[in-house]
Amino acid sequence: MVDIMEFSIAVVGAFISMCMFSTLYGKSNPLYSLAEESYVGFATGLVVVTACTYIYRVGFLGISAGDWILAVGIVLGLLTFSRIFPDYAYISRLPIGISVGAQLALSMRTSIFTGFAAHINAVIVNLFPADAKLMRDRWTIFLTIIPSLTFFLYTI
Amino acid sequence: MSVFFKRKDIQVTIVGISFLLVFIPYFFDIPVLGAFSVKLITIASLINAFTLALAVYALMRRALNTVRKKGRGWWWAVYMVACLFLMMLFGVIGETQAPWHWVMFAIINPLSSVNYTILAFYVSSACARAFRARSIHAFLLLATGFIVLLYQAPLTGAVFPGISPVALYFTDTFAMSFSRTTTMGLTVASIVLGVRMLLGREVQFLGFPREK
Amino acid sequence: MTSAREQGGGILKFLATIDRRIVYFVLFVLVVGPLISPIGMPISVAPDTVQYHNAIAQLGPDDVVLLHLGTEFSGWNELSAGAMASAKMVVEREAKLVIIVGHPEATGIPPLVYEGLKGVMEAKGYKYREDTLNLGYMFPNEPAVAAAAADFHGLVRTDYLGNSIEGTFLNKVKTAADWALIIDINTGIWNQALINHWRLPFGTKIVAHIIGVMVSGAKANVDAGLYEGSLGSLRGGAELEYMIKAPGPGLQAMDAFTLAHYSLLIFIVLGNIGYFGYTRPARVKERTAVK
Repeated sequence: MVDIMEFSIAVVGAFISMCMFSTLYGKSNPLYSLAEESYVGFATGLVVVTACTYIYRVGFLGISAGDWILAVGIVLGLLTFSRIFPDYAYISRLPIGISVGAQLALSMRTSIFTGFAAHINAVIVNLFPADAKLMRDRWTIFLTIIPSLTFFLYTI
Repeated sequence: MSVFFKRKDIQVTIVGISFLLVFIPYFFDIPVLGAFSVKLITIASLINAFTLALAVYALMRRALNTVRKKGRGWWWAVYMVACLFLMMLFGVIGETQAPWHWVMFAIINPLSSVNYTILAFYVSSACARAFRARSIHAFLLLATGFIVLLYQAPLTGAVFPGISPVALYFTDTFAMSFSRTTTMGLTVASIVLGVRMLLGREVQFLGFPREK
Repeated sequence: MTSAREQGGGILKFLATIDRRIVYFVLFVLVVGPLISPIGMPISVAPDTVQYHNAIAQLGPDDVVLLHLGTEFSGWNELSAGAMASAKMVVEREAKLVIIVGHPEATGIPPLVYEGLKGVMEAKGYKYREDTLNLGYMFPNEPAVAAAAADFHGLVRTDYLGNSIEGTFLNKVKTAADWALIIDINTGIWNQALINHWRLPFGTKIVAHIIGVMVSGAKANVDAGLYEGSLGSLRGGAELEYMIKAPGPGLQAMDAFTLAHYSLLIFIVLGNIGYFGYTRPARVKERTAVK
């Protein structure tokens, strides 16, 4: 039984891969459409199932373990489905606002250090070390960083 | 009650409060606030997971529109929706069971791989046709790219070790510098966008029309 | 006077206007050929790979290591060699290995990892729940990554199979500071989140195995002290396999890798020959006189 399973995986996988490769020839064809629509359908189903599993493992298991505040997350998450109904779509603003506010904070409280300060620190180094190769590299970086930063300055 | 959701200033205030509840405990050690902040972050992760599940609705809507209008290739939309529901059924049966395993390795794995592999073909043909030394700048780009590509082939470094210092000089200085400045530029841009969202200047994410 | 274009062009015209399907076909043959019949070309090892190797080599028994699979199946094909070699190094040093997934497609990868580590795990007497765990898809978004860093058991209560993680070696892990190392197998999914929420506030060490386009960004992070080391693409994986003397799919693919790169370079050269020999002279320049 297992051999048939692995054999069918190999055969179907090879066939559908070749269907996808057929796009390289340049003309659209039914085999490519078969591969494309299969991937979109199954991959979306995969995303939905894994998202639901995550909600169960974090939300429902958390609530059953005594973390009652996570029920707020479940309720707010269900409110996002109000987007499906145009007359009530405005209700989804609350969960989206809370989620976006939290994510903005997560991003802004650290990215100034990891995306900015840490890299500036790495550039401000001794430009006259003993090793000639190191000096060449550091001067190259120093002389490259300044013109490329001015590029961003004048194009924002 | 609906006024609460429909007023822009109230919704922007909620965004701001949520922001502060996560931002402040990072810099000030307030134990109660810190613990609540972690729970709020977990709640935000749950809300985001629900929006992933909304993907079903988006796909269904597009597919039903195509089928209703009997657009070109409408039967493929039916097939795609069937695949979607089949995968969800296999998920209910169990992610460790045979049907799920079969779809993962017979369909999703090969197609995901080919999607990425096709890029290699496209990039190769684009390189072959677009890399022309039309000017001095293009020649410099071509020469540098040529040396780095030559180094990337493992055999070159093994038989001609002299190329390693040259290629590493290009990647460890020029490429890294530009990558660094791009990171810094993106960081500044994301912070600016974040501040605009908190001040209510960017409100489209809440479903309000753009500020004029 | 007739221009070169009107005259035909011959071989130079062919080189300048080469059909992309010829490029695809040649590339296909040069990649598949060595995979079917390996040649066994030598490789060199880059300094970055040595640094990455040394970062993992410092692990000891009872260190808890997080293997983060922030990749789809597509990226796994490029990163599997380095990922398996890294995981092998962890098991050989008897450190605890925890697998966590950051993309839905990657939920199918942990069984492949365990299959590849079967031999070395049996040799070291590894048991599931005592020495290794698969936590499944627990990083769907950045808040999840941040929550796991601050309060691990507040987010993760069960493993992929639904069994509680209470009573396992993860009992001693409370926050990101309790992890010895993160091996981030990444195509751009939550790599910045790990730096922002694990590395910066808690000092958790991270080594990253990334795809080719992310190499220069990862070098900048290594230079800034945010990463302990970085391993680039399939070539980096092959170099790591070579260093730990565990030949695998990475080394097998290097012949194809080399030939594909050389073919690309040859096409670029031929294209430029066609450009200078045919396209450039064929441009008819018109002078306009303005008085």
